Amino acid sequence: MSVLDRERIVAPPGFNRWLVPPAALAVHLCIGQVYATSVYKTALVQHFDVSLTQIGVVFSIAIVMLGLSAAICGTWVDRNGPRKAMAVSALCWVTGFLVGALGIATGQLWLLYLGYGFIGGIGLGIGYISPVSTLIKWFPDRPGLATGMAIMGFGGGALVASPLSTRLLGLYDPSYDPAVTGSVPDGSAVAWLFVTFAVVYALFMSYGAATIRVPADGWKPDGFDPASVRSRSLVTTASVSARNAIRTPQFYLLWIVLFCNVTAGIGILEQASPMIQDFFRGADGTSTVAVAAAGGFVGLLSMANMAGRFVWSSTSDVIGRKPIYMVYLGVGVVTYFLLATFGHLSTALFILFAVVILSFYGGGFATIPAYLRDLFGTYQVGAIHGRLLTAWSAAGVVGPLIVNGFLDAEGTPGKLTADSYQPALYTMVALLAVGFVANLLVRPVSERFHEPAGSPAPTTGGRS
Amino acid sequence: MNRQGDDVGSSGARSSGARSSGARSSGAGGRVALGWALVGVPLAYGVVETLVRISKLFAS
Repeated sequence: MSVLDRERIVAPPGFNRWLVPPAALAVHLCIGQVYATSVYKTALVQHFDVSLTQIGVVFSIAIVMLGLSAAICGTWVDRNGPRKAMAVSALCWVTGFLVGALGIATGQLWLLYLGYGFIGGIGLGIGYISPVSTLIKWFPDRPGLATGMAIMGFGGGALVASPLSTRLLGLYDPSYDPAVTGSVPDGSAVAWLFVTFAVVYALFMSYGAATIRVPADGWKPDGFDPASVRSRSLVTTASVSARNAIRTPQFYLLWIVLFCNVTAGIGILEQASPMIQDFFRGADGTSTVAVAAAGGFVGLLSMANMAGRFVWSSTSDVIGRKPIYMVYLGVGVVTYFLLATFGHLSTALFILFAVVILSFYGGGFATIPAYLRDLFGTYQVGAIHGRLLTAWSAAGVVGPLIVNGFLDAEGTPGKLTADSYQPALYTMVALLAVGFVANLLVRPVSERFHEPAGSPAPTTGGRS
Repeated sequence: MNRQGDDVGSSGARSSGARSSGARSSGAGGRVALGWALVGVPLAYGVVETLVRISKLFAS
């Protein structure tokens, strides 16, 4: 039996469950780096002498592979346990950086696609879902809090990697000064940055894999009464397999909910920096919002995204999953409408609306595993979550298409105004309304999809 | 029923006596603190750096 096997990581009596969230965070903080690629995008464009789109493909491959690997490997992750999954994720993520570094050092762009995009993307997908079902089992009393903590780490990963990348690039290329507009690090500095990340992330993710434990069969936290779960509407103690889950309308309703929520968030994230400048462009064509201030706006949205993951997901433990999505989508519709219609009247209002929307975007990501647990039980929740993440990949393609498509039709970058954004933003309002209705239609899963009573629970500790 | 959880070493304490419970409790507590510090310190670094960036938004 390997040290990576599920049977080797069943927690001994007295194990403190609060060791599990840091293990999950250690993985999510590392893979969250994928949202900090903008720091060295320009450097790679110059190094390879290609277009921004060709470099952007690296990120797109990684996100598509995230969704695909989460969907395809979800059952494998549930069967083999979080340690093996974290180890494979670390191996892929680190290999992705090393192969990518080799591609940069040798000037072979396809190696960057293969390494960071394809191999690293597999690491992203497996790493993202690896601790989720384990956390839900350790915190049956507070699943929203538990998944919120881990998935907050994914948002936090970019907050850490972004400034760290800037500092390291300055170290590896002394001629690069991030304070000087137009200063770009050379390709060699980016290659060394990748190698550094490979080493640091290998250590961090190994800590996560080494620390993670699954609870023993029948374990429950002190003072927790499973009957309290049974008494809540939409919360089941039955088990639904991943194969059966995708045959239920509930799965597709939640897919639509996640897709709409993520697409709406991307609508702002995709264009955050130019958007705030365009909204406050005067008649003379100049914006009252400086470039540095726009950068601060992007930082604020990242914080709102990260905080929303923790705060809203934890709140869902109190008010319930369906009501919290009513808030994300219902209040989201109103806030998005206000942003599109009145956002140009005041910078403070614009920022407030955008922060609220982005906090709901983060909350939507973090609450979905607990919603799945409520509807389908803990039996194969990791695998079901993996399949649902295809909604993220789809939103990652559709969101930018909607925004860029409308903006391209409205005018040229640098000359757009608040009016130019209205068609795209109203489309997002409509999408959120669709998501709201989908959430409204969610009902408990029919008993015919439940596993027979007494069937094994593959995601608990004692299973062989 | 096997019971682990918030109270560090709760079930171990019942079987091994108060002295070993205390030692296990402090050891596990240390590991928890170390684990949270390991992820909390870089996260705090990221948050502080981002707050500095955000300050430019409100300074303008």
